[in-house]
Amino acid sequence: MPTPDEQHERFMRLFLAHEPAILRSVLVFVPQRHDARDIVQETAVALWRHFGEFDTGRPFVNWACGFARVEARRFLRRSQRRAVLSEQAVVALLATEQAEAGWLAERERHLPECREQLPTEHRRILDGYYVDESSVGLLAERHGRSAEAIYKLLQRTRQALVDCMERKTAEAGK
Amino acid sequence: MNRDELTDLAMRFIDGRATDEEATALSLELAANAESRRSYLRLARLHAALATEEDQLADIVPISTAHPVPAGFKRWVWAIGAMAAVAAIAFLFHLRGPPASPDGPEIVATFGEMRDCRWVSAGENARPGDAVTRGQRLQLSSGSAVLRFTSGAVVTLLGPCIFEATSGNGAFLTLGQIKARADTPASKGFTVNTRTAQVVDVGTEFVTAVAPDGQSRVDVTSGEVYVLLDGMKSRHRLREGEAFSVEAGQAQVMVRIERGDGTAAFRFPTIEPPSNLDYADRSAGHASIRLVRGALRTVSAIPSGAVELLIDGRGQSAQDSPAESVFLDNNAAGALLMDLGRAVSIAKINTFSWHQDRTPQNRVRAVQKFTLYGYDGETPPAIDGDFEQAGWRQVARVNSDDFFRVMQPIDRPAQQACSITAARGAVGRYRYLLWAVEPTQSINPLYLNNTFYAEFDVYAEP
Repeated sequence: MPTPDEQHERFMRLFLAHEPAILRSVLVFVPQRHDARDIVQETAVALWRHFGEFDTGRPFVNWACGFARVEARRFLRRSQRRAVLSEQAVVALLATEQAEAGWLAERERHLPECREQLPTEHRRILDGYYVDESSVGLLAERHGRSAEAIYKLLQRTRQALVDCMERKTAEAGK
Repeated sequence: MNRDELTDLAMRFIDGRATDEEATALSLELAANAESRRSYLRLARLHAALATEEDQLADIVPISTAHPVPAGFKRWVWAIGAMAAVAAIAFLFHLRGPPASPDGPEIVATFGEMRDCRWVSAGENARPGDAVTRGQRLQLSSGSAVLRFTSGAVVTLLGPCIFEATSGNGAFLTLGQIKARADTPASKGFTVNTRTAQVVDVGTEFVTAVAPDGQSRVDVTSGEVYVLLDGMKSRHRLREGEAFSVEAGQAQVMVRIERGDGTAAFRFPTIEPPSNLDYADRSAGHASIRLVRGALRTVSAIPSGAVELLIDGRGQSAQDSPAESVFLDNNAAGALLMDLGRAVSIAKINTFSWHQDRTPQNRVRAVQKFTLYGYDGETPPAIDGDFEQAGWRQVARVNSDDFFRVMQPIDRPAQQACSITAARGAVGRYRYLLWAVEPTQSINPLYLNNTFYAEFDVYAEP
């Protein structure tokens, strides 16, 4: 029987190792990073409270993502902002995502390769937006373009990544 | 909605640019159309992957394993598992590009000394002198690493912890423990945010920790800090040797622990001495207290005093006074149940302890280590199993050794007070309070492990 300290450390290690995957699962339904991180914090609280029930024979990440989905739905129900997805939309998306989990993951394994093929400036702007979390306005200033032009470029870049992943998945299946 | 319209709308939503009406339209479309859901998932999962890309290698996994996984995916997992660490670092570097390009992120700190560091992601394998950029998230699995901020503040991460450098003079602690020193003019005001609190250093050294369930803790090694709670305007000043914790949750229950002057006057920096003016005092006739789990130490020639001493309005008159103290069997846990007679709104709960043996370093029986629960119904829930499952609500956790960062027995104050209050309104409305008391933990096998509690004061209003 592990001591409370050992149990705590075990939880911390598992949570630390899988926190990005948990965050990623939340971002699909709650795309704003600040909100998603709050939800992951709430998830950590719930996970810790129920850690005694965790079946060590199962993957921690799946167990944790289950809690994260519950917390995300709770967040959406409580949200004061109206520009969020409805409960019906989230339920339908969860079902589709579960049904196509393998295929979606298969596509995403091509992301690094597709990203490499982007023009350097597009990659820099994408990095600025996602890695540095710079606003479109700040990126416009840095790159000497209008905010509108930067945002359009971001949209095009992401669409190019989606198309590239699609193409490479199809090629791999031939 | 055609595909282009959906793509445009989904991207606007993902970027936080959609209006309320657009979000409603998107929701209706997603609820009704399976192909639209697939398109949305492609974009949203790309957004999620890009937003968390520093850990791409660790875990792009299907959300459920209940569904068949394509052979290609299995091969990929195997390949990742077999990758050498060097290749992983190179891959990540390639993926992310250099950390600080001319128009890249601002450098806010550099790594200093490191000891036995294990990072969660291979890409975080930093070396002394490496830059830390604004917003960079550090996930230390074990060991310790020093960060030198551009302001001069020095932070030591103690693994496991998740930490983010938010500016040259500020940071966010998600989980785990850090030690911060801000003793240069530029680092005055160095700030560490947690989910529930903001700690502002005003020229000092402090330790702050965040537990997985959201509890934040601060203790001041030297100088002083201000603690500001989320959403609250007032600030709490902590001086050297003082400590403070705040529980996650709406009331933001706070625990403050202080060392006394070691006299029968029970004088503390801000916590009032044991009182007979509180709601639960025996003289007021509202409350009763009894032991409902464990046993008092009575086998010895110098047994514990009666449990009712805890509500008699007084502390002990001397540092080692068993007859005026309440203590359990050696090494035994137990539970004390207080019935306040009716549900009352509790503003504050103070608990006091005092013990020092003939040998000055034996102060272990002064440690306060308990979890406090409350219940507002007529009949208290069961006390023979898990308290929360039985219906008790956890109010606060106290471990004064953690607060005083006791490394050596002599560090531990012989006289201690713990004050539990709430940042927002009352601690809670309860009829019953339950102290689940744990034994102390001395490293010396000759010492007894049971706290000498003096007084429990509950300040409340009907």
